[in-house]
Amino acid sequence: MDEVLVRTLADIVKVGAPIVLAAIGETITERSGVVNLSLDGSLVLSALAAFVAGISTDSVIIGILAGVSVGLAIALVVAVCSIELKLSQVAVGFVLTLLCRDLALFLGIPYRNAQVFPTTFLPIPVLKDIPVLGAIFFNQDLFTYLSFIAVIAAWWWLFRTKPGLTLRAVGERPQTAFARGVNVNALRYLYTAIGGGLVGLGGAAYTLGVLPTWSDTGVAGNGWIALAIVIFGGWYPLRVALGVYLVAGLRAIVTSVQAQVPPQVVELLNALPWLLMLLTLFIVSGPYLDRLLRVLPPRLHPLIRTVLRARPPSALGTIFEQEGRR
Amino acid sequence: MHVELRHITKTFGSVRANDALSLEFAEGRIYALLGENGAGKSTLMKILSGYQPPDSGTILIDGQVVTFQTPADALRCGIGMLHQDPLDVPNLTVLDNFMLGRREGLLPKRNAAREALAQQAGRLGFQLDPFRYVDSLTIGERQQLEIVRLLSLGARLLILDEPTTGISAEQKHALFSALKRLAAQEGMTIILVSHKLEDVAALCDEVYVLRGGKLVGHCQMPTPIEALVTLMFGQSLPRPTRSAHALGEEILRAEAVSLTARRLTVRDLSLSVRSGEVIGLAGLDGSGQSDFLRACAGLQALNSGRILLAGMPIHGKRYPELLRLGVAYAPSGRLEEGLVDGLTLTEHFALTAGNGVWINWRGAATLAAEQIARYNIRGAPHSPVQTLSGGNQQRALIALLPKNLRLLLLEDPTRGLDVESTAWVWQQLLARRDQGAAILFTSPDLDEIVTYSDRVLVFCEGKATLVTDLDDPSRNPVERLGELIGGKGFGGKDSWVAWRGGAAPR
Amino acid sequence: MGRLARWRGAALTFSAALIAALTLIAVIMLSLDKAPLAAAQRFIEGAIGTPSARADVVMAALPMLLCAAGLLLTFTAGLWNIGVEGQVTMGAIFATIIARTIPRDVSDWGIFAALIVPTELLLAMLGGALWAGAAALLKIRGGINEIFGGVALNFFSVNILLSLVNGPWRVGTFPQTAPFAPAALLPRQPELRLSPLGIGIALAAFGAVFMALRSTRFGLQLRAIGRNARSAGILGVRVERNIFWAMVICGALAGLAGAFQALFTRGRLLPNISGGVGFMGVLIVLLTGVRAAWVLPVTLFFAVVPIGSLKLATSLDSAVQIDATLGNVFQGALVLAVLIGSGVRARLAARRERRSEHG
Repeated sequence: MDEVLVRTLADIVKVGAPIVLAAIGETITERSGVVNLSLDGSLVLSALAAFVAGISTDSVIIGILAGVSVGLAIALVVAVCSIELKLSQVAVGFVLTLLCRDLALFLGIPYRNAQVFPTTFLPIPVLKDIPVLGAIFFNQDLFTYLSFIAVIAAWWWLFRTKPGLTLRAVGERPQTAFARGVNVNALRYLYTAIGGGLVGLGGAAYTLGVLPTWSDTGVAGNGWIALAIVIFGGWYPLRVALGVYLVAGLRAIVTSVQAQVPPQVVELLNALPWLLMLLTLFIVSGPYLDRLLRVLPPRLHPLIRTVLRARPPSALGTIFEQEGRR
Repeated sequence: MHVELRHITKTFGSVRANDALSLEFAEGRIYALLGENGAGKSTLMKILSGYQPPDSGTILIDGQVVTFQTPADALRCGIGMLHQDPLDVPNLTVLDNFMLGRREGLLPKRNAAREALAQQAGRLGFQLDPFRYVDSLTIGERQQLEIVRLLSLGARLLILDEPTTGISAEQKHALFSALKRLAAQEGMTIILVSHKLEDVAALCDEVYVLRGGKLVGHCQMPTPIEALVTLMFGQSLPRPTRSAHALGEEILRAEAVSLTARRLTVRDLSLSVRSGEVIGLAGLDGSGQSDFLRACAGLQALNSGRILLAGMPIHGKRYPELLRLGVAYAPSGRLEEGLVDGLTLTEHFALTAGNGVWINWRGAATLAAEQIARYNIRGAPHSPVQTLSGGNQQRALIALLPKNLRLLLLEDPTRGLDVESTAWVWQQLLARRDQGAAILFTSPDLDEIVTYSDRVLVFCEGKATLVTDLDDPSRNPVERLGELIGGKGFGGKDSWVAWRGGAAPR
Repeated sequence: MGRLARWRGAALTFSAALIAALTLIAVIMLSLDKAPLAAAQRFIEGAIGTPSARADVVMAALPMLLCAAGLLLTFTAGLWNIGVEGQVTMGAIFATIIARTIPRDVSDWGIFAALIVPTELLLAMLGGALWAGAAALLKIRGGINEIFGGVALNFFSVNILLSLVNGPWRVGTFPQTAPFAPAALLPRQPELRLSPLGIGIALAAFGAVFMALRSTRFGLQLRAIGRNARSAGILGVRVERNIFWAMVICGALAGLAGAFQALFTRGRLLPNISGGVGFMGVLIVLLTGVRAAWVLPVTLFFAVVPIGSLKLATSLDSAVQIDATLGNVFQGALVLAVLIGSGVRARLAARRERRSEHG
């Protein structure tokens, strides 16, 4: 296979890693019924935290822990406001995203373009020599490996384990889950925290892996992209990851033609991912899918729904209250 | 397993839903819990099955006091409840729903579960495809799944809350035979919560009757229906006499209407209604009568056929336009679908009355005060509607209906109302009828249908039969309608003829 | 709960939130070895001490007021018009279509010179309305959640903006247009940086929205839709049509705000022309709990912050010099504190009610 192509694919997977982590984290959170709109701000703030911690202690682990903690804390704020105070998740998330982004911009001033974090490049000895696949999957840095693990773990957990089934039920119809003995709100806290932690990890992936310095413009905006891809990917981890790589791929194409193409066209090309997502969602929404499903045999339904469906978990954004209880 | 409820009391706000109720349930018997809407049946069963804690009182199983924190606790003790809207997860497959809630550890045992599902379902005569998504099943199938699931988790006492609303006659037959088998052969206890006397007569051994939160009767079956009715309502309801009134021109005509809604298809329905007529739409919930009503209101699309209002085709028009043409629709869910919670009565009147850009608030407040007085609504113009009681909300809904209506489409207009409010609502509706409006209404209460309808359209699984001879003294109309609803008599050689087109003779 | 009691409760929540947010800022400043109290004094002086500062505050408030007014409509209808930023950007772009073509000398234009600004403003409203209409149609026809649609269109509008200022509209080495000719700008007073026309337009727009919500059928219908769209439909309200128009009007007002940004605040078209005024509008409406009466004072309060922050940022005294972004942090923290405060209050009230029921 062409050298350049392989290298490009490897790059796409590496550059996409932070967004994959954030998007998978958000997928998990939304599967439990909680919208964490603070994704963008959370990503930026945890990126800063990871960078500062990493630079001061010269340790990747500490940096990662810092990033994860910040992401987790912010997500928990959303969870507490929603579950305990019955506030709108969208409202709290939106305010938090602006607040965290501004906080990061402010606190990050002394660190602008200061130092560069040492590399976390970790090629795996034997596997990296496999043609094509080795270069893409096993010749990467720490965070890219973590992103692979996150995707597979999320998929496995959601669709192949009992607790994952419970998680899906909590996001779809919490009353039923409650009737089956599940503590709905406890699970929402848990998965929001896990999701937030993954977002924090994604932030760390930026400043300790991909960038790896602190700049104002590098990280901001990617959280919104991650949010959009969660919707576009239908809340299925594999589709979400694919969506991220698609967007990263489109960006790579744009970068590669940048030299030959006038700047105004470059900018318009940058809009492609969004337009593509809108178009696809428009076509795939509702009536067409149902019509298709009616024609096909039931055995195929799970597969078709996984591939094409883009309906959110039915209880997303809602507040769960037990009947008649105090 | 012997289950006893002792002095169960539950209060919601100022309403005492359960007042020191004491009941006993033995093995192998099928019980009925009878009572009007609001008598406290559902509350009591929710307490028994662990959904809600009682304010006071105890539950005993085989002599031991038990308390439940969640329904799962109750199920572990052997008590399971099937809700009217089965508590499942629509976006998951049948198999996933079956497996949800089992304590099995990390990895699900898919094949074992599939076998268990097939085995349990087969035992009861049910057919369930494990790979279908639950949101593509009918209510009857969803019930079957839930029953199978509860049994597989060891339920010994099964509570069914209004199970026959919305299922087909076949499914009801399958359900009843399964229940009888469970009680007789496996010693299970079944409790049927219902207000449908015909089901109770067909299935149950013993009956508890609730009224106003108190236990007013405990009988063994067979007991004559009138006795049960007396217990449920407090007196034998006298049948109000119907006065003769003149009919006008044809106002509504349905021609070979066919529509599909919620997995049910209504086929080839033809009907002609004249001004001043009252047509009752009877049938089990989900048999198509509500959908037909909504189609006449422009809220449901037709597959084929036409609907004409005074000769003008209205199928395809949206509801706000029909409102202007003199058609009004009132759904059965008051706060969900008819009134806007958070808005006051005045604001509702401002919304529906008048047409200009600007709102005359003083005028609206005056109108609200007038209507409150006229319709005897217990509330003030500035009261938000959600603070009104159910009966008063219904009065408000009726008060909000525009004047000069040609056609009234009402979905269960007296749902949840006490006898006094029901009589009052019908007084208002008949007054409109006297002014020339035609009324189509649905109701699960056959007595109401028979009392107020000139003609009845009976729905069973999407097929509609028009019944015209309600005054025939040789047959009890309620029984006759009940049979039609249950599926007997359709297409038979009996005296009931399916009528197509034209006006009904009087 | 009586109206006075509710008023008192809201005031209490706001004060507590204000104190909390200010404390946060003070803590941050102290950790950076700055003097919070001195900074506060300089801040207030800088923001409202001089007439020119006051003029700056008023003019900064105008775009925010326009966005907040439009958002009042959409929030009342229960919509989350996150796409407001994109609508502001499109408004600026559309206004620039005319603005960049106006020459320095328009003395021989006669009557047409007076038409320049109105045309620009109308075009800007059209641009914003188009963008909002697109989001509305995506929602109504495509079932695409308005947040997702809004975010996508926000990004798309930025791409269009960057494409224009990097390409055909670029003048010079930086990605921006040339400064607009004075005739194309919002007319301003010679001494102060103040545009009476701008103030008039913004106040008129706000007043119109206020009246609409309070006294028109449209406003009542939006309120019904926001509470319970299904019931509203049954009561005869045309839900989809009303949602569409609420979005479009909001877009038009946002577009107007964009025009103000291009034709007054910056005087040219460049990246980030929206300056975050759209999101600021969302914050304002959230802070007031979608109550129109409070929008005006809150907007002025919000406008004070960036002006004062700028004065601190450019101060030569190192004890108070601090980056202007801290002001944004304050705004976000304040809104969050108010939201949390109102949630806590509601929970305490519910608990009190339950206790009285049982007792």
